[in-house]
Amino acid sequence: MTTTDWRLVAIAVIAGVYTVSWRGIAFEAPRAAAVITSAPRARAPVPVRTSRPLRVRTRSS
Amino acid sequence: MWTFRAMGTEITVAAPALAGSAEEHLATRVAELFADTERRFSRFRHDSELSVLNASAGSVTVSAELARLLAVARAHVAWTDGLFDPAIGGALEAAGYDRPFETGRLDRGTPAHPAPARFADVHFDESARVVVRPAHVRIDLAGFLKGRTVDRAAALAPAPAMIDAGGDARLVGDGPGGRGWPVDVEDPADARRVLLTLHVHDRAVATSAPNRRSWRTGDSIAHHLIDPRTGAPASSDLAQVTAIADTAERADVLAKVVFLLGRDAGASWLVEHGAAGVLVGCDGRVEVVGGVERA
Repeated sequence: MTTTDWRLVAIAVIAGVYTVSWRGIAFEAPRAAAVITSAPRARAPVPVRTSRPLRVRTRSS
Repeated sequence: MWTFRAMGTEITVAAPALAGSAEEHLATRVAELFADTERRFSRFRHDSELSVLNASAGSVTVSAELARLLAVARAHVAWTDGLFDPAIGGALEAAGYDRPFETGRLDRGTPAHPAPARFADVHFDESARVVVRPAHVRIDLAGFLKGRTVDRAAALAPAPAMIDAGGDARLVGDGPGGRGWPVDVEDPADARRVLLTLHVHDRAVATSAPNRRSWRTGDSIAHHLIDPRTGAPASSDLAQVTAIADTAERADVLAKVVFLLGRDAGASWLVEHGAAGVLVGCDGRVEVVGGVERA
């Protein structure tokens, strides 16, 4: 390709990125003053095997 | 059978038809689910999404899962005519329940009196996931989140299983021997005694009682069952309500509302809503309501 061809490719790429970015901004603009982010992942407890009887005991907890 | 601790209680997972390794794998997945849910929605963790929402001012965009929880909570408010209301977070803190029980006794002097709060005061746009919380409203999801998490955990089980979160339990299948899962109804006046045993097939149970989550405030006893109509710990002629319903989430809400309504109105209301249960009065009288199979 000639230098002009490369320039056209570069312009097309920049235009594409701009269009995608603009659309992204347009459609994803925050609709609220604050956005909540989640806390770091906590480590799950490791279950321990038990040999208790298979029954439920009602209680408020 | 496997156990672990989460949400301030002991969780039990059992799937007797599964091989040991498969049952352990299920228990591990359930533990991860509980840990993740607690991390995101506990009011006792300052970094949880719920705590961030409760500390926010102005409009806030919440995660899809919190938006779903708030939408479900709003539905519970509607069908219970406001007897279930997640806006009791401030009332719980004012009554003294401002930290987990594991950290020590909650006893304190004179309780504070918070401004009345209703979930209806919160502006919530579910589709946009935007919440505008008035400053006096603090949301607590514990009233149904544990039951909901039990239901989600049960959905992970590939075979009949028991998921029991401190008495909020989902019992999938017909239980060992096909006679139903045995459920011992504890005596609220003496935790060593069992009042009666039920057999439960493919349903869920949940219990509300003030006996295990209570503390002293000045000269009186406070507990965690807040009446949204007053913003104070509820007075009831019931000492304990065990509700039996299709899901643990619904059973949890039913048990709380029946406790608030009291014995007569509560028993009628439970039947009207197609559920069953065991009501234990403060006088010790036990009443079995709806379709319950006794052992």
